[in-house]
Amino acid sequence: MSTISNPDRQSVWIEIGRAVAGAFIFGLPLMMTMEMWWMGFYIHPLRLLALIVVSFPILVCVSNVIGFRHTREWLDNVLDVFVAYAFGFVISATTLMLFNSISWNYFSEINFQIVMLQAIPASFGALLARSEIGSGQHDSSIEKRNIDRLAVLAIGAMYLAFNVAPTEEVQLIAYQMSFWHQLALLVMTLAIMYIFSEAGSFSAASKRAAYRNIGFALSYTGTAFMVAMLASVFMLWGFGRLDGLAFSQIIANAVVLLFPAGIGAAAARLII
Amino acid sequence: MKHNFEKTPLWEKLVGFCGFVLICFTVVYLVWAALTNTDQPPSIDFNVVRTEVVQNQHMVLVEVKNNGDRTVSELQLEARLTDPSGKLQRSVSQVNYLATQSTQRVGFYFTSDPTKGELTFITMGYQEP
Repeated sequence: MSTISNPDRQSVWIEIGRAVAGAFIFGLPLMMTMEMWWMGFYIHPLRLLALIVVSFPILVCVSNVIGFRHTREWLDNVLDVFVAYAFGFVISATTLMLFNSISWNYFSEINFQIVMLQAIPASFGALLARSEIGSGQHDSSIEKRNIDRLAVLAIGAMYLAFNVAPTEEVQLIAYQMSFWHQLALLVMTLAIMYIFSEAGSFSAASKRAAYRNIGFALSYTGTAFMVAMLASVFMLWGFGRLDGLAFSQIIANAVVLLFPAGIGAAAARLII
Repeated sequence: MKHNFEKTPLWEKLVGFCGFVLICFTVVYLVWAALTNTDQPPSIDFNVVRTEVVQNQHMVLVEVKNNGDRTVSELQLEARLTDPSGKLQRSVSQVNYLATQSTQRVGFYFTSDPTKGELTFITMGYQEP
């Protein structure tokens, strides 16, 4: 029988509590979204696989920046991500079972797809919990690699995009917008992203002089824009929202989803 | 600041291992599902569960099952009851989504007693989601 000292026992429960809370806070809005349950009925297996395969390295890089503890070795980061997936899966499965959104009436493989789809954003929450709702003790002064910065942008974009990409509202908004509306939304997205970039330059996380100039904010906005656009198109494709659409409608849908994705990407630097 | 993997708590290693197994299983399953999908069109089976009288009407509870490989949405169903005098009654219902190999219960209402007539079920149409 192993002996665990009180502080260790406390620390274990705090870590578990944060992971569970993060999975709930990030995953619950999607667990209560009917399009997400229905998406599990018909999403193509390879598209679901693509969502998992793309999110995995992003989460590993994010774990390098934050995580369940001060980790800097790749094996620790990979372990953090697997822990996050395990929490995300269990929380999603339990909640969906309580909602009766997964049922014995459904083929078991369909139930698995529904849960796995929900486990992706829930695992984002479990991993981000330390920075978002935890003690915030991660060392933000540590020099981040460029790939880590891109991962932080991507996780911000993917998280907010995940909340709306499966819904029909994205297509409906795109239908009711004229080209002028789309252009105006694009300009507004860029303006908001720039404001977040400027705010990020003055945040406690980036006090260095190099970050406090207009060039850095513009370049950051440009990079965040590119990452958010890629994330938007990828999410729309993953959820089958681009199938059968004309090119102009693909652009319209991407511009609509870019709004939350761009804000998520630009804001990620402030939050993480 | 380097973290020593040996010092990682046992619970975290165990949960991490479960996550690793989960991801490996998911990848293998999804690839297998993609490769083995024969893409059979939706094939809807009807199975009468029970009939009961509800406020002067007769309700037929039917379990519908999609035996095809494709999920259907907006599935339109019709039940036709031909009573002993040859009079035809129709009742329609719709299922929002019916996933592959999954079932859903649907109710059809008639004014005549379905147990004394001939009951047939027809799939009217559906949309691909």
